[in-house]
Amino acid sequence: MASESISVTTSDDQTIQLSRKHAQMSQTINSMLEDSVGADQEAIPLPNVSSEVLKKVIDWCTHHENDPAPVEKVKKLNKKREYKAKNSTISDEWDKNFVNAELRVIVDILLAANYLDVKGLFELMCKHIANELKGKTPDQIRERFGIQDDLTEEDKAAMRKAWGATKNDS
Amino acid sequence: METQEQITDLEDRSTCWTCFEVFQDPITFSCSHTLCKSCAVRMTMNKRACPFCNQALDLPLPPVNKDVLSLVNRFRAVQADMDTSKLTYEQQPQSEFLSLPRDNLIEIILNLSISDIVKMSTVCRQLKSITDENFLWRQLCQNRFPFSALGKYGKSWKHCFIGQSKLNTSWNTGRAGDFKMTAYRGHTGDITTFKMYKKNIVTGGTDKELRVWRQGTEDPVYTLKGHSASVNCLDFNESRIMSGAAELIVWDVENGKMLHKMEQGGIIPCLSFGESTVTTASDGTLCVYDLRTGGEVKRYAPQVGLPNKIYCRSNEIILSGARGVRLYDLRKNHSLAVRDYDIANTGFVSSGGDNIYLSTGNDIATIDITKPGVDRWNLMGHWNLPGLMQLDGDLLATAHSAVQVYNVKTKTLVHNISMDNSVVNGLCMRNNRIVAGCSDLSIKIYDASNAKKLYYLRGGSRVVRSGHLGIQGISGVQLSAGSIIASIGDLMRVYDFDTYHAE
Repeated sequence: MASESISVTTSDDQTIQLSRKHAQMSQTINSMLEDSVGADQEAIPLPNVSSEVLKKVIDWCTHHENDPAPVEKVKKLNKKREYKAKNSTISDEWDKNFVNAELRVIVDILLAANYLDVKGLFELMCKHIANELKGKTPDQIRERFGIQDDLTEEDKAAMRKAWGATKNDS
Repeated sequence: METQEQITDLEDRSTCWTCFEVFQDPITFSCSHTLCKSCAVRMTMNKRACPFCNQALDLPLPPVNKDVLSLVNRFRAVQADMDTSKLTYEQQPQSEFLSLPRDNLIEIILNLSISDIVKMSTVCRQLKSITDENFLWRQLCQNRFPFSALGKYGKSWKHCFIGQSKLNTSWNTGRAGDFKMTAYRGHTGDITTFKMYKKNIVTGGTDKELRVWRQGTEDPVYTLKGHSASVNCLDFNESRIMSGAAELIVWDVENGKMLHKMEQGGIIPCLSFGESTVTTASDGTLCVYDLRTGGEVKRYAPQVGLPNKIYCRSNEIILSGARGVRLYDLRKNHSLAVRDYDIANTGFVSSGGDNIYLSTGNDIATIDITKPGVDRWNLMGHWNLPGLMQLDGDLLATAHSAVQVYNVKTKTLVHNISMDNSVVNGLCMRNNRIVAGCSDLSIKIYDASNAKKLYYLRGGSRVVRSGHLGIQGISGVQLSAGSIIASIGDLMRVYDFDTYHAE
């Protein structure tokens, strides 16, 4: 019987213990575990994740450990052909608190979630950033995310022309 | 510290163009091309020539190129440097948001609405290039227009999306400029039947002729002559056109030649064709012919009165007539009906599955062709109108002086759409749009989900030409993905909504 806790080494050389249940919420760690069944339980190296971020991820996993496993949604062909942007409202209060962090931390968590393949967390972070972008003017987006405007006026004029077709649409 | 440009240049110069990895034991041929030693061995195994310029080589292979090796070592050092500096990217002026990998950014953008995506593209160059990503638009297309295909949009899903959404807006507004109307003139008698498939239209009229048109050209491609009476029904596929009048004629699509002519001893009001057979019915007989040879495969004596409609489904034939509905099975040796349904005076539509919906008197009847028995549901205000029924998903539309939409699952009336005192002569329902061709020369387009009027297309002038009895209004409509086609007397009109052309 495999042990109940798994140790991982983060990018800043810290060894962190996490329960098997949490570890298995990450597809990446899960497949590593499956590959090394029977082998000595060495610490799993996670060179792309820092201990600070990993703790956040574990926080999230602890809160969501009893969620039903994400079911691959079979996409039904929508007869009405009506398009809705993905529903990006975050319903869970705990999650709302969780994403209330600095942009740098959000980005790090998103990258870690992507690397560790924790689907729910990854989606949550994408939704959060999408919400930040929603309904903002380009200037507001630049300000919020610290982006430099490197487009020339000609670029913009060309774009306006190209987008004319779909602009009134949504 | 090197600039980004220098590093890229360094990377280019220390990368092998066969394996796209950093050089391992680089060797340089006499033609000055460099590649890894292992790659060189592999590439020259069959043909002793440089893989880049095909210049013949002498063996043995040249020794490791020391200059390139030092380049490689420098690149490795720079790379190691970069790896450590990556961890402190927040100090760089570039935004953390933009430092996310491209696919993650796309994942985020997929959560946004189109107008937000358009705004995103005007923020900066990097976001612009991401919002142009084909993958993103493919996802959006699949979410919004699940049946769209690249087709004429070349390789760009973005163009596809723009085209599709323009088509959608055009369909819903129907303003001048949203569609291109083409009139097809040529018949000297009223058009009685027509069919459109992709860009091809075949029409048949009381002038005993058929005409083949191609969307985009105004003159008919072929005029098919040979019938001795007014054309009642036609159908076509990629290679054959079949038409029924007093006789059945099979034509070749390629050259417009008559291939077979079959007499059945009576006017043929309807036909239906399968993969290799064509089935026709006239008063008293139901015949199945082989499409290639023109030979008769089977003949039945249905006794259902004047036939209304035939429906073929692999080996089963459903024939509905004025006095009843019968099911035949081609695999049976005898020429008797497999099953009789006790419904009179019907027209029907089928869902393509086992269920067939029929109109009879004031009822709508459902039959399951695998089982006997009729399921009737009475509907107030429903009139006996064989033929003017359309099925789209769970919705069934019937037409008379009003269009009524029923839900076939719950068997309830969903909408009753008044047609402003005009009689509906043609009805189509597809993709939640109801298109009705009316006797007052207008084509009325409604939204099937909320019965809201979208717009009316006026069918043209009421001027009566000499020698004509006068225009009776629109006699039929058909709907395809991008256009509406309608017959008005001897005239055929095509309203083409698919006006977007990718540059």
